[in-house]
Amino acid sequence: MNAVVQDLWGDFADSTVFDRPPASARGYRSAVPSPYFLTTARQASWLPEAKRLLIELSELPPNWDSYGGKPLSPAMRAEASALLEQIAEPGLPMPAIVPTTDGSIQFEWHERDIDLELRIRSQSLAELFFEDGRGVVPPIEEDLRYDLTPFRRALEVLLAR
Amino acid sequence: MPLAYADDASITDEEQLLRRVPPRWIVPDANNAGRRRVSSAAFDDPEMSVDLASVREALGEPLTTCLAGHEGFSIVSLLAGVVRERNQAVCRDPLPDNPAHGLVVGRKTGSIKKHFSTHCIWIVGPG
Repeated sequence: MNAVVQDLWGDFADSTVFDRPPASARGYRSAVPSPYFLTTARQASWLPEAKRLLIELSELPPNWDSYGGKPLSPAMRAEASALLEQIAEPGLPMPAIVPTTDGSIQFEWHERDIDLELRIRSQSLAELFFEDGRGVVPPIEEDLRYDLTPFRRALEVLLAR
Repeated sequence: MPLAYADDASITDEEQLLRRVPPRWIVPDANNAGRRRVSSAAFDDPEMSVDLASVREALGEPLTTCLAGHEGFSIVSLLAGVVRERNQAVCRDPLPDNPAHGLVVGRKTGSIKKHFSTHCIWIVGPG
């Protein structure tokens, strides 16, 4: 597990402006059960593409959205990358990776009659929205602080369908 | 902190509120025959900028005026009545270079943003 975590920060190894953040800045990680730290062999094939997209979003020009949008911040990029590492299980479709005006990001799935969105507000706060178009699973709309268990459960519904 | 805006009753529920959408906010929607939809990220701002279509029309300008200088962007329209149903205030906020500018003010939860995403109409769709 440690090797995977270290690799996540490899991009920043030579950076003089972004050192590996303290543990307190990586709140989600401790909240996710260890099976969600996946080895390469068990990762979804879309993970490299998703990581490339995160880099692209970190290079967006100022005002990219015409509403004063900021590029994805290095800290948020690292957080998003770590989260993708945790959830990129084979069988899980690639999320739409959508930048937000404030330099953050959200992940979206609109398939299998499910709408699932995770909007990352900060390194310790995310907004979860889940809706099952078939009405089988009750909707979820919840602010998540540190504990991403409801998000993980929503992913399990998507994976199982 | 409360937002210092009040709903403007002179803006009718039938008013079209035009929102410019960058390409990054358009996502695939496999739940809708693979069509594309506007991401809820487009409706996240508690003080969301829009153009009032009636002001554009009164000025004799096309609804696409807000796309000037924004190649590849789209425009969607939300009815003022639709956003008011979700506890949003609709205000005029004319700017020196945009007399049609307005704001949709209020906290936008996930379900509110989804409602806007599924109730907006393409005025200029993605290319």
